[in-house]
Amino acid sequence: MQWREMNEMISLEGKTAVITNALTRGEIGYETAIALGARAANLVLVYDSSASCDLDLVEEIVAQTGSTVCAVEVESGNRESFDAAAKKAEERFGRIDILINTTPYIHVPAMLTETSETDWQDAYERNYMDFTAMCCAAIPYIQKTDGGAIVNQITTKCLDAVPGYAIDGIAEAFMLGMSRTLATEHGADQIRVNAVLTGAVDTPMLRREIANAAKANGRAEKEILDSLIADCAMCRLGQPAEVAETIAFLVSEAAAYVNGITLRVDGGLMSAALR
Amino acid sequence: MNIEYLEKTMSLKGKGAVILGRCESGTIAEAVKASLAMRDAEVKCIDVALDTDFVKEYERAEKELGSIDILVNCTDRYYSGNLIGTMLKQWEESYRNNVEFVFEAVNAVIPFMKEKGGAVVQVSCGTYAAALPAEAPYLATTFANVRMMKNFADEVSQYKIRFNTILAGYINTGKSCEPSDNWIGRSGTLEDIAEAVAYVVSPAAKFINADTIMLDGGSRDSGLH
Repeated sequence: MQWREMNEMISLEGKTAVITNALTRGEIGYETAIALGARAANLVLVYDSSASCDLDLVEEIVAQTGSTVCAVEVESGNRESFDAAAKKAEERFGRIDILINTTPYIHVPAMLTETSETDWQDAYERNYMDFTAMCCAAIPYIQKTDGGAIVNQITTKCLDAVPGYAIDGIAEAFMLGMSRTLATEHGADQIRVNAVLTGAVDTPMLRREIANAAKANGRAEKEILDSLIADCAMCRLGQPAEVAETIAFLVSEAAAYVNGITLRVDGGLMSAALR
Repeated sequence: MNIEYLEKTMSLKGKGAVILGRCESGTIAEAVKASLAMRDAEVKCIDVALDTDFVKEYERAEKELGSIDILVNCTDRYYSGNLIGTMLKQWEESYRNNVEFVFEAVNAVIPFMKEKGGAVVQVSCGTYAAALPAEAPYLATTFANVRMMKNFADEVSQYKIRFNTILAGYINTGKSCEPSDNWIGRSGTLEDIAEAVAYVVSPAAKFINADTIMLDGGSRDSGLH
């Protein structure tokens, strides 16, 4: 590989990346931290104090990538805590260039007509609000640089409706709408905003989701897993590192003209509509 | 940078890549060739015509490269013409050149990839969703190609071949350049396309299949795919 010639396209050296939900092993946020760390970015890992996360992973990411990493706490639903987190990131590294929002899994299993007001409120507070708060907190700092990138990782459910996942899908459609709005509003600042839509990716989160769905519908876990795999042209689950590599591409100079898109990382989902 | 980590996801060492298109200064084919070569792929450009015998060309390429693991088609042919007033002949020509041709080129490469898997990338024009005036016969074929890649992905999934489409917006090829009415306010470059192709054929993108990547700097249409 001609690294010297490719350095400008690939390297994130000197850049600071803020990543949400990166402190749970095996999840997409964690793998993204490793992928961006490997490209020499400074990492700010934003974690929600109430969610299960493992601060020991910070040391592990440092050891694996050799990059500089710090963890910053936020409180879900508290917008000021996100502003404070972005400020801390800038104090630590002098700048913010990149923001990666990965979706925490707040699944409210219900058919659309069976959802309650509290379900919606919950989904709003845990998904939309944190997501919006993180973007609003980071963008003023990214604007100060000569261009940056935001990637929002959501799932294919935001476009392909799945019965029983009404709130999830709609919450994610909200995030997709926000992602595209930010792309229109900040393109002139040279901040690119793209969405990555993930299919069935083998994470602890997916395994939990399958277990829950099996329990709720009286089906075997294997049956549900098989149906997910059958819908994928590549006949397998995705790996979180594969999503992370896509995110790394999108934030790099190699994707300098990619803006406002929704990129599917789903192995070719056959039930998906053509878009 | 952690080179050891990045080698695993980016290197194309040991891969043979065939690029369909004229490889000369200022073409997409040439830019793609350079970016794949930088990642250590063995690259061969084939300047094709409508009567090209793909099987023969691929056999020759396989001998030269060792194997064909990557096929990139950069031969999109542009046709202009308003929808009303377009002659049937223009539709036929556009269909022949941009749809049948792509089918023949891709279909013929499958036997060469079926043992080890591979990646096929169709480079098309990304403005099709906008229904631009005076481009009807051309834009219709682009849509058809996106659909075709998805069908290929579905039908030959057992061979582990990935099929994706890169949709290019206004790209400055040095010859002519449309004003860039997009959100980041510049037209694209050949490198923008070449880097997207290199990414999509690399191990890093091995779960990206039947997909499209829009390269237009952000527009009303870029999220439609």
